[in-house]
Amino acid sequence: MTSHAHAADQAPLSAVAIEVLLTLAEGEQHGYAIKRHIETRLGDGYVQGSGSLYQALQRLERRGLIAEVPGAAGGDARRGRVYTLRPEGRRTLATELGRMRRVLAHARRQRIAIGPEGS
Amino acid sequence: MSSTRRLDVGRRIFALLLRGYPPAFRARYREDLIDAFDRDRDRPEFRGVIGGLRLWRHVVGDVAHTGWSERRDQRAASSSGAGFGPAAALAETRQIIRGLARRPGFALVAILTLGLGVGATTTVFAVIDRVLLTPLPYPDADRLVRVYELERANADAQMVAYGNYADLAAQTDAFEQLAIWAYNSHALTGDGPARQLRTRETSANFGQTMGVRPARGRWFNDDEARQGVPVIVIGHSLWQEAFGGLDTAVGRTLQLDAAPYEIVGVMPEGFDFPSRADAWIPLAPVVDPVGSRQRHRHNMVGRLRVGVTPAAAREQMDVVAARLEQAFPDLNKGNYFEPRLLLDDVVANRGASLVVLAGAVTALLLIACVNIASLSLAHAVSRTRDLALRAALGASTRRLAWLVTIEMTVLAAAGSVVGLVCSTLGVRAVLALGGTAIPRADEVAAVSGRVFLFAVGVSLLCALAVSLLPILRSRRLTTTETAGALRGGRSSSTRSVVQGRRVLVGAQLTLAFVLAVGAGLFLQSYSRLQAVETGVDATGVLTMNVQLPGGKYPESAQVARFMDDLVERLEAIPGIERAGVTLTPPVNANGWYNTLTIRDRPVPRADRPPISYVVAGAGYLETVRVPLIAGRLYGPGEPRGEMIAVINEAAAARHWPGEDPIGQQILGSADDEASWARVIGVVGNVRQDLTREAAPEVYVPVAQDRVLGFVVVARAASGDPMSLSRAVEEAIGQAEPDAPVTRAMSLDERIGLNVAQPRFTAALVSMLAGLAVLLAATGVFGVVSYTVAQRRREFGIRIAMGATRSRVAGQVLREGIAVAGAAILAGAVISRLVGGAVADMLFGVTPADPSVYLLVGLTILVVTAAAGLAPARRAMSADPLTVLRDD
Repeated sequence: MTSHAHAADQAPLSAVAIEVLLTLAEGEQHGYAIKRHIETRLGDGYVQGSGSLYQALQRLERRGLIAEVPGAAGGDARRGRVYTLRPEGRRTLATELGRMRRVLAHARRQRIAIGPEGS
Repeated sequence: MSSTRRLDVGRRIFALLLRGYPPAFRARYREDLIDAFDRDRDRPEFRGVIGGLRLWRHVVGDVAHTGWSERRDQRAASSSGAGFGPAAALAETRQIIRGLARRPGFALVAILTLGLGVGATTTVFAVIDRVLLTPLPYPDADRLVRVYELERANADAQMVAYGNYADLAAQTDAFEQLAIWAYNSHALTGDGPARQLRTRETSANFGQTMGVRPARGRWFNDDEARQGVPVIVIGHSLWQEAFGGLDTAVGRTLQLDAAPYEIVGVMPEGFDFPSRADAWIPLAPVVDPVGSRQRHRHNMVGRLRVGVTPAAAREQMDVVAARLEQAFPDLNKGNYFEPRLLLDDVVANRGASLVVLAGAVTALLLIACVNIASLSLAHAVSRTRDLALRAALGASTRRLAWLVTIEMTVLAAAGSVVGLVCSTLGVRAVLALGGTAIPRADEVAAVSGRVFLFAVGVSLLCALAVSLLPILRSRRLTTTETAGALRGGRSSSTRSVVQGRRVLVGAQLTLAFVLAVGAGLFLQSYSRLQAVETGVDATGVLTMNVQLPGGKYPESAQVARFMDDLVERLEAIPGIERAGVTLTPPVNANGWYNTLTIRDRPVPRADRPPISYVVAGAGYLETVRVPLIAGRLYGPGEPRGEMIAVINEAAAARHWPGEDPIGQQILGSADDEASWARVIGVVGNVRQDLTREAAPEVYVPVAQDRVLGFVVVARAASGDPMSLSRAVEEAIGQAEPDAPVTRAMSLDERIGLNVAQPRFTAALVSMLAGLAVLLAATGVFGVVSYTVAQRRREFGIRIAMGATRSRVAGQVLREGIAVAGAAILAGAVISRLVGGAVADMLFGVTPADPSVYLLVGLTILVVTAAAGLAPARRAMSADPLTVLRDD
């Protein structure tokens, strides 16, 4: 159960990580804005935990998929760190989305229900 | 509740929560996380109480989940294996258990000590849980209240008059139901020997008030109560006894006092309210307008409406009381009604001794913990090398602390098992010992989950407290100490350990002293109670209760004839010197009271003084040897003509100071010439309440008041009076086969029932104090042994230099005694401070009784010396050669 951390580079991205990449694909954002973006996108009263968000940010940063924008806090002291998507991140996101497309296609072929609330 | 303040508190809690993350993560993202938290709180969906709760749920879940996974990742990244994770803990635990198995002595002593402490604590908690914390076994029992009618002038009065009850029921709306009952007893006759039934005459809504339905059949209804229809609802045990639990019981007839009652219902098992009732019969309303307010013979129980507090009910009843006082100034002056929660009423003042026990047992538990702490401290020192080695190899201080905590938790788990076993036995023993001293002891109740959790919780708490010390120690391991320990020499820490253990033993002895003082006070109080002059000579007197079937004895004259005849039969039995009958046996605070009237001294009814009223047959006072002070006693067949009475000295002194009461007329009423009784004699006082001076009392012959339940007393010429019980029972059976006989016991035993509560408290606190002293002695033994072992080299050298062996031993002992002396001083101060709390429970002894303190102090000194003796002898035997060679 502890072994996958060694192979972090090959590990599939977590759901939060994908959401972060998706958000940053629209442009650089600070931490809390990312959180709100995710919540709005998922809707339905979903609450994105700050802890797991920053954990995901840290991991993505370590893998070189995103980067902190230095000195970007700007005039708003409360804003905190601002993140931007790196080219590797964009590639990884594309790969990941492709994988998801294949998963969806497979599910459709097998007539597994995918409604608006699909699961 | 300003919002900034709330903000602060919330944020502080959140900041604390952040400790769930590993330090590196925390250092990096702390500000961002707090910022996100603040922003979240400003969002509309997280405002208000519900929103706040929702937010916290998310926050806590997030921290728990992320914190754990983050730590896991860090560990996995940093090393392979050893960590705080469950797998590692398991491996450590196994290693620790192996380590403990290598030192079975330490483990065994620790587990047993902890088990004993936890067992005792759990036992007391289980009893408290059952008596004070478990609701009474009725639906919504927290809405049930007893209602007393009290008189401002007479603190003892609390019975209610029927007419006042009827007014309360009609003029208040605080109660869903308000029921009334009277205690009674009937002779149940039929097949087999007669049996005395504890019957309760109740209003028709009694069952409904209690919220309990008959298991079979029904309760009687209003019409049956109003018309006095002879129907009866029987209790579960009577049903089992009389009908073997057969369904056909309902509809059958019971003979009560030779009159038939139809059974309409059977109550479920466990319901015997009030006061171990066997059966319930309708109470006929008292309609006579004056009589219904004059005779206070009833008891009330009410079910409050939902949301109505006892205080609110009291307010409503105060209004009724004021109205009654105006309408019947003669009868109701100064009367008021007071509701008391039924649970408080059932437990009454007996809860206090349980609280004392809880205190005592907590002290015992502390002593046990200190013992274990002291042990593990010594043990930690012997393990310093091991710990130092691990520390040198890179284990963090926290890791070492973790090891010690696991070790203690393992011990605690074992200790709580032992404790639970001890407490299941303990609870049974305490209930058996307590008897009538513990209310609700007979209620069916399994050992609750609460008690189980309590035992486990206490064990863990102890483990935590106990592991604190080694943890503090391991934090202080310095490099030099480590180096020293690794080299194998004595580290400088040994001395500080001895100091630490001395302080711990001192604390133990202090607690033991306090407990022993408590035990001494309760024992002293109990023996003073027992030594109280009751006013009778109880030794050699046999007593038993007899109940006449009222149907056969409608007139008091017939009862009197029967009693005179019975006494004659009893005195004819060889070995019986004297016999008599009485309504109230000696030392019984629950006897009857009357109001005293004196002819030619008219006093408004409400101001008439109460007087203890004893209906007694001829020969009773002689049998229990109450001395005659003046005048004469009455004999069989009296009164002939004018009614008579005998009063006690207290009545004479109170009401006829400096006068001769003989010849005075009392207890009558102005409108009935024949009702006056002439005082013919004055006798010595009998204490009906051991803790109070004797109150005024009057004795009247059986013929003057119709009473059916009596206590027969018979004095044996010699030897054990109980040996006569069969002969007495047979004589009663011959005189009246339908009269049930119960409770055969010696008068000493009967009087002893009054001190059951103090005896229980004294016995239990003494037991706990004994254990405490024993544990403290073990502590002394341990620390002195340890010192001696550590200083063998020093002793060897001193003996080699010419010190005598007894000098060396004396020094060891002196050190122990010094600790005991300090502990006694501290204990005395603490005892003095907390003693006031038990002052109300003591009789004839003050909480500061010097003789108790002195005796306990001496005991502690002697025990300390005894415990130190064996190790001191070992010091004496230190052989200089061996010791020096060893080094």
